[in-house]
Amino acid sequence: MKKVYGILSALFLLVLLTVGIYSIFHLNADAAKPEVTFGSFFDGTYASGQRAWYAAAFPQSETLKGMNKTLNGFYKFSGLSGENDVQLLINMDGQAAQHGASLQTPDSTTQNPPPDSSTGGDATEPTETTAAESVEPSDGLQPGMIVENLGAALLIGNRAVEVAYADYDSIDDYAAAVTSIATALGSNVNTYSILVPNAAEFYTPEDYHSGECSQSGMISYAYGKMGQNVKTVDAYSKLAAHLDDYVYFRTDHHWTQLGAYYAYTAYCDKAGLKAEPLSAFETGQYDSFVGSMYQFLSNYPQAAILRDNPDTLKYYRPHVDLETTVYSDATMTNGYLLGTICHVDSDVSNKYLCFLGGDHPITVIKTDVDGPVCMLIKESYGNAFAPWLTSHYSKVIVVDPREFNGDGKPTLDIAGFAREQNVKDCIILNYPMMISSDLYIGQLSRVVK
Amino acid sequence: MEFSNLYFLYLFLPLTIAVYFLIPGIKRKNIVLIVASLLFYTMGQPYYLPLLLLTAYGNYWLGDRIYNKDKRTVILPVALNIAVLALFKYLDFFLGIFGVAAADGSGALGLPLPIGISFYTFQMIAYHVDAYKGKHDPAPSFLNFLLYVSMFPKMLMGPIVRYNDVKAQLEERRSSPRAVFEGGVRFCVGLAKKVLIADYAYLAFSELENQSFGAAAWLSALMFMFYIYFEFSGVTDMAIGLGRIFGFRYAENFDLPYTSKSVTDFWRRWHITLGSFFRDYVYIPLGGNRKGKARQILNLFIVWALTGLWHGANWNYLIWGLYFFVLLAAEKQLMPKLEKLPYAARLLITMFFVLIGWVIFSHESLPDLGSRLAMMFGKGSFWGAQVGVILRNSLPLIAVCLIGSSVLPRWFSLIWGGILVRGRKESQLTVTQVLYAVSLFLFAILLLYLCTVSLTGAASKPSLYASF
Repeated sequence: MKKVYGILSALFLLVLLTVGIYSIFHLNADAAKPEVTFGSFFDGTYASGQRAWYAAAFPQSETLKGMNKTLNGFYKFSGLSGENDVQLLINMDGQAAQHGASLQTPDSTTQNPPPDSSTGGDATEPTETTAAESVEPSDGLQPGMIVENLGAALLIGNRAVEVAYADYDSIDDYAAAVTSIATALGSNVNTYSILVPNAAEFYTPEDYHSGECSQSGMISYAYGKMGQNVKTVDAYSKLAAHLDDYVYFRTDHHWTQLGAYYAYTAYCDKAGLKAEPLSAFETGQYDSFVGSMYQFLSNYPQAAILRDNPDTLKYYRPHVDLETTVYSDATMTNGYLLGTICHVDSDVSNKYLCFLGGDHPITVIKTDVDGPVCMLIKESYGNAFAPWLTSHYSKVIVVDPREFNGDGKPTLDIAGFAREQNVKDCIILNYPMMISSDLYIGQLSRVVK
Repeated sequence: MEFSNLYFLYLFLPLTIAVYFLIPGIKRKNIVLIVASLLFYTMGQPYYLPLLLLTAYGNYWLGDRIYNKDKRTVILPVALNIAVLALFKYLDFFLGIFGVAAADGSGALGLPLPIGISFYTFQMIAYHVDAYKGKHDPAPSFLNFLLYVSMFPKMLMGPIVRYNDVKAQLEERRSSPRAVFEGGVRFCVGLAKKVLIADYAYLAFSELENQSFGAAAWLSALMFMFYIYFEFSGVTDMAIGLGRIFGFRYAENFDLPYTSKSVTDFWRRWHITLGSFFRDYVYIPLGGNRKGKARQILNLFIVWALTGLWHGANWNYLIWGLYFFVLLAAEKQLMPKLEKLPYAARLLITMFFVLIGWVIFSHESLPDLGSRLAMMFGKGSFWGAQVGVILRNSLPLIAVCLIGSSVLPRWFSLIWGGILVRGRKESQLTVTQVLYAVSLFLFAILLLYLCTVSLTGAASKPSLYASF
């Protein structure tokens, strides 16, 4: 038997060696290799980066990842549940919400309209646009990869939603941050807070939108905690009244532009503006939009139902003449032109990036409207909302607080900036995953100097 | 570096094994292992390599002097080792207790914990005490001692190996084909326990920790209980398997702890080498049970407080250790009554207390621990639809964990081996023996394949015990 053991041992070693040698010659060249520096070598990050790179560049990794889904599916038993029952509940950690995503242009003068756009809208003619979709967690869920405990991803029927869990201490901080922005802007600026529910509030069984998951409760609580200098907008009721419309995507964590429209009408009611009718806008659409919720759950075979039932993204083009410029900081130099409604290449799955080209530090939409200046402080929910404002303002300045006042990020003093830009109305728009996110609240708070 | 990543599996490990077996002579093989071990360590915390070499050389040098001159000075190297451990692991904790370091970390040294320090420090303490007691001579050379301390299979997460147990193997050993084969199979089993069970159990645990329902709290405690067993015993299996490949025999660290019929029994089966370390180097030197009942209780108190603190510099670990002190003391009194209960009842009672122990262990924040325990014992809602979904989603995992931690795999292995190879000598070559070996080989390759699938594109969760 010694010989048999010897042969099997040699075979075992041979398997390891063969795979190892084969892997060296067939590594995926697209995987980013870590760069060695003295610091990264000394603190061990180079070595850990090497291991991560090797795992990402491992030959046949796409095939193996596909098989991994089967394994994950085995461990996430959906049971014999019906078509509209909850299939999966996965820790969400706010990943889809907390990472900005954007289209990036190779030079500063390019812009593409949607394929079926015609007249009106942005003035500049586009040429070419590339995409960067940092929202996609390409490696899927990894054990222990906890960013921030915000809620869960729920797969229910052919829809996936983010279920928010209330953290009332954090919501107190959020309300204080909004109030401090209003205070910093002063009484010459009207500060509005728009908190919008997401799809979990309306398309889930009772337990996922009641108690600590009740978004109406979270929104009421947050509004109740805000100062008198903040004007709160009841977007919830407007959305709740139009649930038969296509107001939320099924495969993405965002609302549709139609959902944003109903929030816009609520804002107009509060601000004393006359909302434009939907019929005033030209429309177009992207078919086969498979969004962030699928990307997040793609490591589980149950999520195939999302891939197989994609969303349709319908956009409404502003009917005023406008020019949209993106800036990397508050000095607003070296901007580049982009669209309010952008072209998204067919190979880019995240079609939601068509709104403002995704998340940028500052986006300025200049219109030919004779009106005041509006500043919208937002995360990505605001991207589908901003185009509606163009009918009322000469300038809409869209600010993403996640892109300022952090390590290696530009500084922004929101009060000084608003004064310079002669801002009259300031809207702070967020959805429930953000108002319990200490990370986001910290970023929002820091714009007040 | 962890064992559970593709880089280790397909580059580092096969290269090390190949070079090891190609190079002739035990001294050269030892050098191969030392180089591999230092490289292994460098790939985790390169900045602490000088600390490892310095402490290893210091201990070697002191050991050499102590044995030759004054055995009473054994207290010096033991104290120095404890001082090093205290500096890196406990100083900030005590600075916090005495108000020097604030809760936000200001005033604390904030030194990263050197990986494996709790294991290799204890090995060096055991080395000196055993040398002092005359159980073995000092290491004949620094390289010999360095290999004992730094040997990569067991350096990061044990088992805690005593010099006396491996000194002969450090100088002369043979890796028989059967040992290499069995070592490889054992390694794959350990890898599967870590990658295919523990990592998933941890994921379920972290998902359940977000749920504020009593049932979720119980379920999350159960998932942590499984996670820590499969994690730690998996890494130990890998260490023992790798040791076997290179001709070493390391002590077993686990013996089906979740089949224990008492808390005392549990601690005979859980982290066996740590328990025996505290028994031999703390409890017995303090007098054990030889100096009266009161002194015995004090000794047990010290041992369990230290056992708790060994796992981490935090109050919850101390509470966890003392929780077992109280349980063991109570069990001693109640044992005659407990022994009359059927096995199933004793098992359930034991697992209940072990599970509560893991709740204490897994919550470093005492307010969080308090609210979690309150949730488990009736505060707030017990059940929600979310819990139902997670429970249903987790059923296969729970089944795998229950079967995997039971006696069934061992029975199956014994029965399978019994059918095919019982009564046959290794020198014989029979079809059933070949069938048995081939079946094990294929099983190991299947596990390796599944682990590769699971590890592609991602890193396994770092092992918890590596931070002890």
